[in-house]
Amino acid sequence: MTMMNNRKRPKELSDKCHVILDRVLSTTCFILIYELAIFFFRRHALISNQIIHPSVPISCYTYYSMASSSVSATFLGFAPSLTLSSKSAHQVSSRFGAVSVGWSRRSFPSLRSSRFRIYAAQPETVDKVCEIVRKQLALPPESQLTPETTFTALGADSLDTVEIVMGLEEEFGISVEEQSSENITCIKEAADLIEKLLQNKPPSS
Amino acid sequence: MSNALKNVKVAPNSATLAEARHRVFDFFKTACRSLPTVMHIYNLDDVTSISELRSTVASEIRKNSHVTNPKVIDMLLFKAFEELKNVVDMAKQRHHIIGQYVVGKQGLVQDRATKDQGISPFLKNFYNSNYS
Repeated sequence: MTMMNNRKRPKELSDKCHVILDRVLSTTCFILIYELAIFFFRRHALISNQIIHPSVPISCYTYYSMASSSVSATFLGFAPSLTLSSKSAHQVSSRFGAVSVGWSRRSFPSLRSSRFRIYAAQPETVDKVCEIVRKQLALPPESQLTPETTFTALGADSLDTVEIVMGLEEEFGISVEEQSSENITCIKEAADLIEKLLQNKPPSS
Repeated sequence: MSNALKNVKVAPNSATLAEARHRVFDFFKTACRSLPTVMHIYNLDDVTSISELRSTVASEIRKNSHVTNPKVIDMLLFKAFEELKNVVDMAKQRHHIIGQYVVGKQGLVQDRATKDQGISPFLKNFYNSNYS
């Protein structure tokens, strides 16, 4: 009986330890996730310039609680193996590293797509511009219009150029300012300017 | 009015021909931007289109393109702004607009509406000739 008791008590004790460990570990993980959620929510609010409650600053409290909860989680996660110090340090740094990589990854895709969109003028825009130019200058339909032909080469004077720009304004629903309308000399520049204005324009209802 | 026609003050005389030219283009742009309003208030949709009116305005400007004196150009611009203000403020009426700016070289209004599609071709060609 005593032998069995001796065998039983460490089991009970280890079982209790395991149960306690499980509970504490789960709560710590829950706290960690909660802190991460709060942290990202505040960061998102800061980035999008929304109003956040100024009482709790984002930096000190959440960082400290995150750090403490993550450290404690790793502590308890590795408690059975009893090798705490170096592994927990690695885990904390890797966890933070994963978080920082996640942030930088968020900002990349929009930058890449917007950069691609600026340089290419779509062919249907160029076609529409050519159509308007042809109708304005009364060109015969078989005349060729490359994107690089200037308006003066087609026989347009300055008033014709302004009229072409006005026609483009009406067609695409954009509004060209003064300084950019002076520089339009060829079809390609007009198409690029239209593309840029169509991007920057807020979506109309 | 979004084109700020009410706020147009008479600017001091243009110093050079280039400045007068710039003001002519500004006037043309203001006129073109107010064309949709004009089409709407005078119900010109079945008689003409915005491109036609724009080319009419451009041809009116071109009639005086031989002028080189900046002061004469300023005077012409003053009259042009006054005319534009009258048109946009609806101080004129529809028949004024049609008679002065829409009627083409044949002296007749070119029909653009769909209301004529039911008529026989005899009536459509009636003005051209009796023996088509």
